[in-house]
Amino acid sequence: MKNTLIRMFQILTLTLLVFLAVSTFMPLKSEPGFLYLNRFYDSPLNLFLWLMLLVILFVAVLFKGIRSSRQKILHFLLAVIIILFIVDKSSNERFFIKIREGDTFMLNEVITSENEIYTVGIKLTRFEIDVHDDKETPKAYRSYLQMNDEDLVLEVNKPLALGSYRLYQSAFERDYYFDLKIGEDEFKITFGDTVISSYGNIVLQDYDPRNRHFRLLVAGEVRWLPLKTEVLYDNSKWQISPSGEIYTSVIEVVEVKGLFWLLLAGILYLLVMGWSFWKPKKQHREEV
Amino acid sequence: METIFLIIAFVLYLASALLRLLPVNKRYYKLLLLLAGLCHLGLLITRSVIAKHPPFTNIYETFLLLPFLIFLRMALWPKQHRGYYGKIMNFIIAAFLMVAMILPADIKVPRPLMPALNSVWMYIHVPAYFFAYMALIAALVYAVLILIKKTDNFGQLVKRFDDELKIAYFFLNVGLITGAVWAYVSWGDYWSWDPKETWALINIFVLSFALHLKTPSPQKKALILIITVLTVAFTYWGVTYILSGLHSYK
Repeated sequence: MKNTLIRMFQILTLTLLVFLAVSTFMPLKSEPGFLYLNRFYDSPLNLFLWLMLLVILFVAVLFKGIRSSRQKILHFLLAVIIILFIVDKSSNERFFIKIREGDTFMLNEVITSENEIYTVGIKLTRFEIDVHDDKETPKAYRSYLQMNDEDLVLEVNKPLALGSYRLYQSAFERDYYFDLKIGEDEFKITFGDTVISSYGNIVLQDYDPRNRHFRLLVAGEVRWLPLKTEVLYDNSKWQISPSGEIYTSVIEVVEVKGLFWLLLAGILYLLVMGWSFWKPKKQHREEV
Repeated sequence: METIFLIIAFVLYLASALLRLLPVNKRYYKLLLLLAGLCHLGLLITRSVIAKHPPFTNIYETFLLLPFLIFLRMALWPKQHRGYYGKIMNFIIAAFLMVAMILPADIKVPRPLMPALNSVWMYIHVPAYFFAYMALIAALVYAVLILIKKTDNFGQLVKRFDDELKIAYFFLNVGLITGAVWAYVSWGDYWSWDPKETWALINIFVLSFALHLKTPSPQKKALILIITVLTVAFTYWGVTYILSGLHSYK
């Protein structure tokens, strides 16, 4: 029994580690390729191999595959970790939200729970990149947020908790914005933005660096505006000039469910491993 | 200053290793080893002050810290470092420092920590792996001695090999679990199937073969340990330089 289980463990583990090793060399693609190797971790084969490993662990623990009680506990805990991992990975919600400086994002747009605490607007008041003394290497990425009139700071390694969700500083985008003057009216605009004017919707589409011209779509019609130069269109003076940078913070929202139990099982697993490896000599002799 | 400490420490380690091969009084090589260790400590302190963080954040610093940990073992448990094993370990320390000296200058430039590395978990996760690497190096030397049967006391050699193997296995697991906790705190996901994470798991799988043999023998375990050292080396250097991912800190 024990030998059969060990042989099965060896075959299974060898298969799993060969697939895992090969998959790390494959470029990630959205569509699964040959044997799912480019997305092996997402594949049914990966799940199947782990489930088989789980079966072997349970059989070994329950049917005298392992005799020592400490080893039984150790292998049982490993099985628990695998179950919690599979359940947690397949059931937790996780999504990214993008908030531009000055904008507000309503969290209940993405969180399906009807709990009132998620009916909250997250406003990004400012995004900051703190740098080291070399003035080059980033030291911290910080999002200054407002939630329920409370000022909060979100940064890498310092997530924020909201109910059963955690907010993480994931990434950022930097855009340049421009001052668009049309007669007496002034607009702040970035690439891709639409502003509503008396001439209709205006979209800032592109910039041609060779001719130093901006391409705008005004009520569906293309217009070119030179950089920092006044142009007369429709009896109004049009001018566009650079104004500054504007950041968009990318925040990852993650649901936390079985994480406490996973952590507890992990700590217990390490403790039992230490207990199993370095048991007192007297007891060791008795067991031998 | 850092380079001066590095050169002196290397010369002293090499001299003590060479003295061990000669029929001279043990005091001389022990004194040289102690002086080398002190220079090495000075080197690590200098590096930490210049870099403003502990010396375990890049490949060059690994080649400085890992041999110092081996030296500490030799200083704290001198009885375990006698005979062939002690001599080889002494040469290994010198070899690590030699590699540190010849590494490209670009790798040696101290760089400030990026935001994801600014965490208390770095002081738990990284040292855990260093303990594992240290045990793997010790076990590797024992494994080679087992395979070539170069020993006076085979039973004791096998026992020490088993002890190192268990220490390595334990700390590889500690490193993996603390790494998962850190990843959760930093990225919101404790496991992303990133190449480094996947290879860290592969290392544990490979080493677990040594603990799950149908007919265990020191030679089989020694071979598995050698394969584990190769996969760990690939995880440390290969994954960093060949495969890109969340852990590509060069």
